[in-house]
Amino acid sequence: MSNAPLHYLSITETASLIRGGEASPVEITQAYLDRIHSLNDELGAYISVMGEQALAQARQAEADIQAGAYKGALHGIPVAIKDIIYTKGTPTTGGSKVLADFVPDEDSTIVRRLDAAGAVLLGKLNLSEFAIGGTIDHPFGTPRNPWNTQHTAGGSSSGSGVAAAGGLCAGALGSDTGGSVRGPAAFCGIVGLRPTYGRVTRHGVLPMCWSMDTVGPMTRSVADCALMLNAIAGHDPRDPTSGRAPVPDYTVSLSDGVRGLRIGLPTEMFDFDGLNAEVRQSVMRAVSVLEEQGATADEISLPTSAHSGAVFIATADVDAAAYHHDWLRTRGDDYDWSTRARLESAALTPGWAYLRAQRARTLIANELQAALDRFDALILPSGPVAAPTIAASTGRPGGYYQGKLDMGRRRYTSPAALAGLPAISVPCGFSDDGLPIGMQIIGRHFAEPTLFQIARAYERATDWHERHPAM
Amino acid sequence: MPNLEKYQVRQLAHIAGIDLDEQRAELVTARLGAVLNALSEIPADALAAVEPATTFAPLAPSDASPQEAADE
Repeated sequence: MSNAPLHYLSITETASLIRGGEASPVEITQAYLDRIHSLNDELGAYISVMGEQALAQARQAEADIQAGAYKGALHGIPVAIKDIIYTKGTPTTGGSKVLADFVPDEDSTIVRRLDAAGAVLLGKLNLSEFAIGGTIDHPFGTPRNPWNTQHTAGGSSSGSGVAAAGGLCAGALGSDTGGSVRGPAAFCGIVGLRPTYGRVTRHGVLPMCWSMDTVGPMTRSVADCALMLNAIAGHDPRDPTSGRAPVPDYTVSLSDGVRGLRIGLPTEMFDFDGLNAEVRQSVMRAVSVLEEQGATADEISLPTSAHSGAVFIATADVDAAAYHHDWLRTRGDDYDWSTRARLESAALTPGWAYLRAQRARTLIANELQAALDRFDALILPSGPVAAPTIAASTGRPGGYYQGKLDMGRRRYTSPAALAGLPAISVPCGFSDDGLPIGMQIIGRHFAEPTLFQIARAYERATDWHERHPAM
Repeated sequence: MPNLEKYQVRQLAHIAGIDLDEQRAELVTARLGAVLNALSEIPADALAAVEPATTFAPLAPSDASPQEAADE
């Protein structure tokens, strides 16, 4: 057990306290609610706090556990979810004025699965509008990086990154279409998993891009990430894209180590001009840590993947523009200026460009598949830089999300998304400014156990995950 | 690829039923132009050798997972 305060304990540690009767779900839930109450105005993590419902769930969990009906590691654990995931009776805004009054009449499958696992739902987390990214004016407050509140938490699962890193929940769910879990996880210094496309149901989740949307955990440790995936993974007859592959216990591979594993290092990701030197050094040092434990690493070229930013935008944004077609025409002024311009740009994308992007997508998927035939996993930075300032990072012309770095950032997170592959971001250092840096590990389809195996081996050998924002 | 002009984007937007103000027209032109240019930089011979992606679900065993039963 670490010496961290209760709000920074891992799910694993908190579960141990609950199971041993040393802490009650009600006490723990109240502690998180108090922390949310004191910090949310500053951090902008939550859009809706479900206090009464959370305490009721906690009381039920406490009663069930005392009666001997312990459900597992999430039982009585307070978690929170991105506000694109439907919650019956509680608004699901998508981070937009367009859906400010939308109250679903059913829970998403994911919420039902969390409930079945006994988790306590603290509330709904802030995000870039409609999970698109680059939002200038967040209608429900600006999410701020808990390591330095002048800096962005990344997007689009901004609140999920802030809440998990800042100790405003024990674990969170975000969504990752083209990097929306991995980006905020890297910027906020936590673990974030994009599962294999289809591994986690999307029934009752607002869409951005039908062929790339995924929902994944964002947590303070690798083991916690595995525990949350255990609860939400698996086929859902209500989601025709959800896969039927059997769901393993993702905690089993955590202690397997990396001896004998082959790691590929994509040349185009390490030689990119826009890659910050500190980020490069941190990730290369992390690779050395894995080599010291018996993994082997070698370079691999992924030439088409270097174009993946444009391919992603010409695919995902066009999907999103189709979803928003009617609202753009009838509720245009309710959109954030940047979101609106991005969707309008996508709506005007010519057919030849969309088809060109789909051919390139085939090339990128083939390229990654060939690389993963040769290697057990690929390692690269989660992004080219640590978190920029909020002032520099909005979707305003010249900002991080509209400038050259937009394509630069997407170069790192789009390849796995376009190929439907699982990828995890784990903390691997800090910049000189004290901002977290993330390492990304990409695996084969449904090879989440391998990702957890490598991520946990690295985590065990380092202490980045034990550092928390001073708030 | 020739640069996209703002007037062309405004014409396209009009046909698509999108009302672009001056400032957004500027950004949409820049953004769309950047994406189209970036796509045109992908080597054409490599693209010609493959079919466009049409299926996205990873191959998986056909067994239903235990989770499915629990949801029903």
